[in-house]
Amino acid sequence: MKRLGGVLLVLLLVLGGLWLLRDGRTARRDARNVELVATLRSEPRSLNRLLAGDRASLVASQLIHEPLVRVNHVTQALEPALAASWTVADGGRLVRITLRPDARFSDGSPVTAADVVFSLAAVHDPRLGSPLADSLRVNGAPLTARALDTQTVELAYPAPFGPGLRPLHALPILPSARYASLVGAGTLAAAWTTDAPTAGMVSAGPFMLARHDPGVAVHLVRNPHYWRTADDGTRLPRVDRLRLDIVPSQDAEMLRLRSAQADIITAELRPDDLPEARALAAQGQLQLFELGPSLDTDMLWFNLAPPGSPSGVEGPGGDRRAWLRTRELREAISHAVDRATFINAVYRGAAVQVSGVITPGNHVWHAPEITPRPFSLAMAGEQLDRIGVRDRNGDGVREDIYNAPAKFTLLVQQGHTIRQRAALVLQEALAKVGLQVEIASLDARGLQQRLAEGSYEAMYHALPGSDTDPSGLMEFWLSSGRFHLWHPAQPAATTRWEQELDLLMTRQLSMTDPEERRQTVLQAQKLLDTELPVIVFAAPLVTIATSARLAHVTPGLLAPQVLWNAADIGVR
Amino acid sequence: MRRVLAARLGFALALVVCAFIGVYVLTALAPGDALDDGLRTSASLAAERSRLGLDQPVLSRLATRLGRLAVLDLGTSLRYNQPVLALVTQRTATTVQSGAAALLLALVIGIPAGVLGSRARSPVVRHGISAISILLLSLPALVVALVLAVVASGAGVPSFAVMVISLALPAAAVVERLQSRAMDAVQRELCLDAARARGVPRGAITWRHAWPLSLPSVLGVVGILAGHLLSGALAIELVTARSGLGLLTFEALMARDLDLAAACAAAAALIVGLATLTADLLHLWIDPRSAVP
Amino acid sequence: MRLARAIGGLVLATLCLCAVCAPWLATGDVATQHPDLALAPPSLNRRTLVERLPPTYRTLDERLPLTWFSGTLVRSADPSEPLLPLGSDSLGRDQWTRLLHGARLSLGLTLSGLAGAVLIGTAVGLLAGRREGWLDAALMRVADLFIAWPALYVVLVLRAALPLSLPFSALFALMTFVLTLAGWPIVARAVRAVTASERGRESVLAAEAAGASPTWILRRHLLPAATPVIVTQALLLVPAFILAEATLSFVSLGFSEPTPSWGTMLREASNPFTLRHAPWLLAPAGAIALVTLGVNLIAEKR
Repeated sequence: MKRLGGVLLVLLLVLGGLWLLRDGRTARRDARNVELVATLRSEPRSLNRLLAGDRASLVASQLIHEPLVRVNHVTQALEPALAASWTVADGGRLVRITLRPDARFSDGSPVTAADVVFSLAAVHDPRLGSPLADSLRVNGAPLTARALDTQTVELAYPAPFGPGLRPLHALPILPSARYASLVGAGTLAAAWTTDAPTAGMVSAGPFMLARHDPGVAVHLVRNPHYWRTADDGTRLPRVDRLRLDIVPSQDAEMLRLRSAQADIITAELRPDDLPEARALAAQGQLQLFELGPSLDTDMLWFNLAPPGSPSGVEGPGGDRRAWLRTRELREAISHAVDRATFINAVYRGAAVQVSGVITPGNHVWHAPEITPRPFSLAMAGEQLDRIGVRDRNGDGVREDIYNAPAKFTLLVQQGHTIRQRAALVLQEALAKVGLQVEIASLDARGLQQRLAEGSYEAMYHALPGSDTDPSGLMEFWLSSGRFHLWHPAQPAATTRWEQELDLLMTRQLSMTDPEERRQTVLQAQKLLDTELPVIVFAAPLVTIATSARLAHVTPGLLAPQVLWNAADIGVR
Repeated sequence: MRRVLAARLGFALALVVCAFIGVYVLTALAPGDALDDGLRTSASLAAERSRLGLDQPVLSRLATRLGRLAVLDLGTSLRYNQPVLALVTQRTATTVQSGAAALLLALVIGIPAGVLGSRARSPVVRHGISAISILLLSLPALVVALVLAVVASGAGVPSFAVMVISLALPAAAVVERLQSRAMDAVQRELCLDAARARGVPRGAITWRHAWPLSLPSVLGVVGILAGHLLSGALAIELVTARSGLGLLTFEALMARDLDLAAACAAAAALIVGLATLTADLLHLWIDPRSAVP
Repeated sequence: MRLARAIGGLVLATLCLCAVCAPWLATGDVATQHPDLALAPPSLNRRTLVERLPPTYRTLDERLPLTWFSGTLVRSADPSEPLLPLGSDSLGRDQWTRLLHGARLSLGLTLSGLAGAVLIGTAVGLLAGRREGWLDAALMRVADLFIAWPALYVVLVLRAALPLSLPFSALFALMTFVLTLAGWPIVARAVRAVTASERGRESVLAAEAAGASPTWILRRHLLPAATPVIVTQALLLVPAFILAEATLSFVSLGFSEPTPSWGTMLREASNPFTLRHAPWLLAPAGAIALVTLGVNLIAEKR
């Protein structure tokens, strides 16, 4: 009896197993007929940029919605989208926008001025909690709009605004007829989740949601009423379907790209992947685009908040770590690191030296006048001697004025290969000058927490990516900002140079003359270079890889690098 | 017996609630803000926090959540913006599917290999099997998965197969080692000598007499192994891009998403509890002398 | 087989000797980086980097100048051209030296974790399986709790709650503690299963009837029966602990750079493209396999 039971059990298990294995295989087979395949690192939290700000939502939203104006990721300049043209009046306080007459939503209804007014008002609805609200405010007051007629909108700025219409590139235009009641009831978010019924999603972008396989992919189909046409007259988008696969790691993305299961991946190639990608491009499987230096650079900074302040560290028995906050230390570090070796070791040679927060990749705002500090161990030693940090007992490690070894802890993001490697290179380079660096790793949230609390000594990290216009980085420049890395969220600027920086950056926001703005931002960058609160080393050279069967690909440095112009991409 | 079973099931549920509470509290203790995505100002962050009720003390939020647990309302994930129950259920189904296939493969490969590795006549076969399983034991799952993924992407093998194989191979090695040592240990049993004296053929002694005797020590660990296989392996999920419970747990933890992290831990605890219970019940069925507590 | 035991003993002894004599057998420093020689293949000849992307090397005519018995067994006389018996990693650090120094950490940590897990697991398992009752149930439920508990969470919160830089001894003790906590329930469950089966034996019943004390029965009957299972579990835990150390480093509860350990070295090999171009990065996996092989051979019964 027991034997029979055992045999039956085994038989059941084997049959069950065969069924399981078969199930897995068929689920894969029918996924091959879609035209364009791109990858996302995670599921979009919402399909509307109004409601969620994470990367995946941004990409999905850009594919589904259309704003008034759009940023061309290649030229980094503003282009008309739903707005055909605009005129500025009253010293920049009023902007009259003329909408495109042939612009339609996906259900065929025309895009009118009332829709623009509704969309702008919806951003500031407190029940929505939109992440866009802060970027569409000037001096704390929201932008307002009123419809002059069905095709003309008048935007009113509370004060003259330097960036002009630029923040509007993030605003998706929604039909007021369909969504006004939902916003009134506070249920707009439910209509734009990935699981919401597709009939309830009406937008003006190149694609529409067809289907969502949870955890696997988001399927998009073309919007038949999309207004844009290509230069040669073809109706855009060129592809009928676009599939966004959820692939959580870059290794897996590269594997998919390699085996032609994906056409476009989320980010640029890592330095370690370049040799393989070049070989594949030579075979004709991939096409590569070299875009020059990236927009973001990793930075090293020290916690400059004085002890006793909310983000300062309480030291035992007086302030023995004051030497960590001196400018001379940062000058010494900047002199002590050989940028060429750094680039070779960390980026395998695929990077350029940078001297400021705004890299050469930012065409408009980069300041080539600012030159980096020369590599000189002697000058580094001199700077350190000046603050009393010298090697008093000849063991190769310097001591500070209290005779404690010159040591500090560097926080890096765990799991980030490039930053970890850079931290190791810095550790080695600073050891040559007599400074001991201890590397500690934390995950991204832990790092953010320590940054806000000020419970760290030094950190090697980067700012979250944003638009090329400096108005997108105000949280970094202003001393009251959350990302004023070395001393965030100050109630009032504590040092003279931070006061000056605040003044400069606040002023440039209200300058409407682009050259005047540029000069002011240049002054701010020069100030940053003199005081050196953050030390920058190199910016990687960006190489984008897509499958070779795509045509009309125009990648740019801003994210999403390829999909920003997804409507234009075709398949050979 | 029925009373014991009910008690064990009750305990498994208690374990699930315990894991839920523990992970909820631990994740809340970890520094980091669930809402801070680097885009909002402090003012709008504070507004958002009070709108979602995140400025309440952790223990009161936990109490509310436990109360709603009775109606299976696990809340909405901050990171995914979807209901937690649906999310965890869907991911668990994916994971259990590949985990079950891997467990089956591991048992089908490991048990016969273990018996062979102990009782085969030819020393070449015995030592060969030992060597292979030692090698598989010492390779980290991640490396196996990567090698397989690279090979598979070249050959067009589906990612499901890669995941199952890379989960199954190390587990098969563990099962083989357990089984072969257990078989070695039972060889000294008197009943086997008696059977040999009666003239029972070697194969029958191995499979009908010795093997059931060796199972108790194997089952003890296979239960745990099953639990771990079925609750997802983060590294392999990353490489094969199959979103499962392991990856969900990790992402929830990284994003400090309390509801989701606690739900994932509860799901994993449930799976492990059920797996160990099944193993114990099988043990009882095979060897009625040992009572299951 | 005595031959198997001898071979196993020899393998382990060699590895331990290498670990102990690491500073003398090394060919360089643990931390020195040679960015121009990143991912260089194992070589005793002289190779110079010609092109950085992709890394290509060219062999020169002269051999590398070596110095023997000066501080270490052998090292390169030219500090800018290192001797790379096992190649180099992505920062150009000598893999052989890092492997030797990493052996100390990995083997030491594994041994201490194993000791803790086996001691506590055996004690709990014997106690639980000795007699049917509430103690048995309670102990096994506690073991189930530890098994079901996602260890990743404990480690992550521990990391965040601790100060950023810990002294080496504290970190070692902490990692041993985590490994013990992870390992003891598995040993306990297996020991309990065998003990529960054993206690129904006629010999045990007879001993009890003859008036033997519980300690006697534990020591003379149950423990010897459980020993094979304990040994099996310990053997399975050895590679698992070494690999667990890699996971601990992944969530940053590991030794800080540039201290090498086999686990952190294996993480370098976790990029599929690096792996294809530089398979020598899998040397730590080979070392782990050798350790596992040696331990298994020693414990061979037949």
